[in-house]
Amino acid sequence: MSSKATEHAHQQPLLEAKDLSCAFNGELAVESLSLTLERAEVLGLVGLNGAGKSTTLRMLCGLIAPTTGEVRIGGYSLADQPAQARQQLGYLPDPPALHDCLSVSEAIDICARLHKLDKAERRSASERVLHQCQLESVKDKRIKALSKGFRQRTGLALALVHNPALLVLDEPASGLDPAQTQHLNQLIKELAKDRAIIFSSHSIADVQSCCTRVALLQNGRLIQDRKREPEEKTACFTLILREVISAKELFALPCVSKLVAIDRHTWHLELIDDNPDAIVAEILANNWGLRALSPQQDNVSAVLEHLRNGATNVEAA
Amino acid sequence: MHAVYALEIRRLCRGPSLWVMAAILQIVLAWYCLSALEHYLSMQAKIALSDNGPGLTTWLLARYSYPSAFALLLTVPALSMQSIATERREGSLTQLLVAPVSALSITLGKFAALATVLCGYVGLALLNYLCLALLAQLDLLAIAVAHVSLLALVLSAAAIGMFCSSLTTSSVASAFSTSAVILIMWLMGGSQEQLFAGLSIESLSLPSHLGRGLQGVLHSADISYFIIIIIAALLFACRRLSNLRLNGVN
Repeated sequence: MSSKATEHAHQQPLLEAKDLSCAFNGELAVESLSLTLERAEVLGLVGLNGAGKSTTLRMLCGLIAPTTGEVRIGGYSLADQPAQARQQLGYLPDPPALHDCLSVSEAIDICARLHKLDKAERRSASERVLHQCQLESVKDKRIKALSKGFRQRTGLALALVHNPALLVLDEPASGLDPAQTQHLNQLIKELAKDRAIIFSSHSIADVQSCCTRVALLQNGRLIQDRKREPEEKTACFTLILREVISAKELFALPCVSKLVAIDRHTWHLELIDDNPDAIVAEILANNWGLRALSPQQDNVSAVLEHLRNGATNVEAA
Repeated sequence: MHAVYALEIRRLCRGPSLWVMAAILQIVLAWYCLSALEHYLSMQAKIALSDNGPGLTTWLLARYSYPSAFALLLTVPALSMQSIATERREGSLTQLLVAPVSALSITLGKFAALATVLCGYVGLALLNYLCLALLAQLDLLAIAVAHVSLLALVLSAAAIGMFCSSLTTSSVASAFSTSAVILIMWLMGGSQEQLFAGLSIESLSLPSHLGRGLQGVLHSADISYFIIIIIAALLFACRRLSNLRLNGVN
């Protein structure tokens, strides 16, 4: 990336998506989605199949024009200044976009040429990504002959070769074995030190291990976007009440910081601290009929679990 | 554009189809050339008696060039279908679309690679003349003009093929549509119908602009015709690639 572009990227949020919507044949796949991503942030985009994760990522990369809204990468509008915006973007699609006839090192070299790196830059960039993605042993092999895991890593190397400020990864752990997934998560953490990363995943474990933020998509809508602290103590609980209580009443309790309605009797709560005694006392005092209060590992995983179990109308308070 | 060219030429050269077609093409062209030569030798006594008999170059250009043009045209759909349709089907086009490369650069890079391969194929047709030139005296200028016309023809067909390839993810559909368009443009040569005053359907056909060139006469109108077809088809392909960027690759 040129120094001028780098300087420009340093002054602006690396990713700004404003009010993005995307419709296919009149049906909304993504609705009014807004995101801002700063340097050193890793955003995990989670949701069920068909939630709009890949469509969102493709809009962020300029592979689908949004029906409404705008995407800016490093301050450059993807619609008005596509070349400058794309220069700062590395994208790993699912499955990775690879030319099977090329060897790994050739594919990296051509990708670097596409991003206008000169000969010396190409050589050093190639060595760097081969090492980062642990591809040295297969660098002269044709991509056609690679296993799924190596193909995925080659795709990641292509996304990294021009040292982009923003990295967009669609299911990066797909096809990787547990050891490779662990290495990938470690790599994402290292890469995030001087860039922003957004990736989609079905795996809550991956999201928990390397994300600083988690965004939850359901039916094309962003229903949750929250920061994760590295040493965050989760104070999330599943609450089941006998009585039907409104969200307003429950949210009025001083110990509740966040509230997600799963059905008329079931709630996911995030408490101000991880001690549930206060809320038990409040529920008993109000005589709402406490049936169960069980701790959740994480608010996102809880909501995702309920979505998997068929809950269709999950609202974040 | 250079990076796209480098990528595309590797894709074309590393597949077996290019080399298999080159081998078959050379066998067919050599057979046509030897047949035309044999026919000339059998007619030589009669030709020598006439006052205005054709020379060997004229004879060969008249009898060898048209079948060569047809054989060369048959290779175009098989090559051009790979340029965009196959990449879309395999998902590898995403790498180009997400890179800071304009749709025009992608189109020109891919076309330049296709043109390089087709130059090689036209070179195979020329090779038979050059072998013959070692044994007999030929009008090399007329032969060069005929091959420039042949090259213009196959490049126009390749540009049409690239546009057809950008319309679909199916390589077979791309090859069929390219063949159909080329065939229609070839058959239009038989029509005498007038479109407008002074412009007949025949004047838009490929053979009407090929004939003079294959006889060794370079006509600016013929070259302009082929250049217009190439530019128009490439612009359509470029526009289609831009639309793919906006509306999604698949």
